[in-house]
Amino acid sequence: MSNHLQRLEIENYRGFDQLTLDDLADVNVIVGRNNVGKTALFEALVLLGWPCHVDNSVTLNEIRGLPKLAATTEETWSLHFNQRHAGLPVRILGSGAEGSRRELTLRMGQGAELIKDRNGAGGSPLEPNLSALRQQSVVRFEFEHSNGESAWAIAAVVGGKLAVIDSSVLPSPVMSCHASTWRLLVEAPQLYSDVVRAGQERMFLEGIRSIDADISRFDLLTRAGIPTLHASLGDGPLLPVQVMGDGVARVASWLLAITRLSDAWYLIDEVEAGIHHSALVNVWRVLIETAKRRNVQVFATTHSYEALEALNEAHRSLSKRNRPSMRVIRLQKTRDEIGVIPYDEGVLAAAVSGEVEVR
Amino acid sequence: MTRASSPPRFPAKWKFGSDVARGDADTSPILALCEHEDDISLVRWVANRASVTGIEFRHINGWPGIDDLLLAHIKDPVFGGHPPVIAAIVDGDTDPVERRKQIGRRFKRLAPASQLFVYLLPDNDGTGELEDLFLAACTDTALLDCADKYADCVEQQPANRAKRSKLRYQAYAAPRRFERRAIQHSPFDSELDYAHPHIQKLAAFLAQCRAGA
Repeated sequence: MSNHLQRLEIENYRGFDQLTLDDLADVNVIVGRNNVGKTALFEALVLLGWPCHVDNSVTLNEIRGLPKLAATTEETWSLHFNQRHAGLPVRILGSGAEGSRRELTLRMGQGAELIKDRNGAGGSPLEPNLSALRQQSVVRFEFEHSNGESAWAIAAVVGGKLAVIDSSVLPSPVMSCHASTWRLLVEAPQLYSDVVRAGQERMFLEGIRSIDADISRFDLLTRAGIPTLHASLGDGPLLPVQVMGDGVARVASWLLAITRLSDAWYLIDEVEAGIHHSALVNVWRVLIETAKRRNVQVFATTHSYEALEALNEAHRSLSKRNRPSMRVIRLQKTRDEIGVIPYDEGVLAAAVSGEVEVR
Repeated sequence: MTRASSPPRFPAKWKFGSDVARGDADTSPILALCEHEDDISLVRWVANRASVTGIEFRHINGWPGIDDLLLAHIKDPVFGGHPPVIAAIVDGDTDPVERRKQIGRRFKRLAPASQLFVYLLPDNDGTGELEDLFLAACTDTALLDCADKYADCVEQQPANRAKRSKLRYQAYAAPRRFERRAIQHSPFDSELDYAHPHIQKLAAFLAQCRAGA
């Protein structure tokens, strides 16, 4: 049963009262004006793709520039709820082929209501204080998969610290995302080791050469005892990837992540950032080819028309056999809701050819 | 003297504002679909004279295989995510009745939520296209003579297959397309007879679209 999503439904999350994306493709590019919910859509995918890992939900606060934990449970999680209205649950439902469904529900309320049972609860620093937790506000994550997998987690802010009780077995993540180039490069030695172990280093090198054909090899060297990913240009010396251009580092981080994934989702915010327009076609081509080989479903955002033109060109340059399905989805604010305007491959090609606005 | 070999084209994505933005926020935007870029100049001029605002003008480069392009226009964010009212200003070709049916069927399939108005020009081969309408309403006889001479000249070229009316229209309207020149001649500023029945008919159609939108 594939993890790829064909349909995503989001209810009561961030700015979405209700949002449904149908006919999702292998490569999905989200466009739209500022503040329509592109990032919120990604956050919903993070919560659904790595369910019941409570730390992710508070890390999203941090990525948004907020404190990871606020003073209270309500302040910490209420921004996840549409209009901060925690009276209704957040519901994120992803459906795929062969009837596969994964559903995450997030509720906020009094512990006495949401802590109903402790079946399968693992050890937790909170355990001795469970009865105290029943007296305060908590959030409850519940996850169910059509394959029978399920999980739950209950979290609260207690004394300024995160307290969590969860089911003893949490689902493995089916997503990864490009959070920051710097962070991923810190993890690059481990990721590159995984890539080498999987015998995928050639695929990775070829991918990076799409952005700079002079890059001839990668290797792991230690600097001050710390493993660091190095690359060389032509016959030149090996240099840490960190000192190369931001575009190289960025694409390297994507490819490292995708190359070690399989049957999963990969999220890239603002795909064009740091990449010269002339390299965009090659970057798209290697990104979608690599993703197809690894059976990874891509979700990317862009504000750039050039990035959409390049996507169209890269996609059409692939042979039909190697061409993944592709879709551009514009989120558009109308009077009282966020609308979804999809573009399939043909309509995107016509729009680009006719210089019609898409974003 | 240097001369541009083709008119400058400014991609839609570069434009500063749009016709829709100038319309009344309380009225539905209209997507005016013409067949060719030249047609837009005339229809836009008539709409401005008729004070019909809130129109986004687009051309489709003829009809064959254009479903995807039509959808791209209909989905343009300038319409705010709402189905636009569509005003199709197109040639009737040899069978105007069938043509109207075809257009109705096509848009019902592509844009079922859009209201459709069709201004059908009489036929494709005889007189009655937009350029005929334009030329009939022209008042600058000197410039018309000039356009005639241009048409005479081009018609002598063995490879020429263009209709005379198209050649005349192109010659007459050409200066209009150099939009960024400091010195320009615009046949739409003063040399068209707005009271001409053909022009009035088109103005009435656009006003009807606005009233129905």
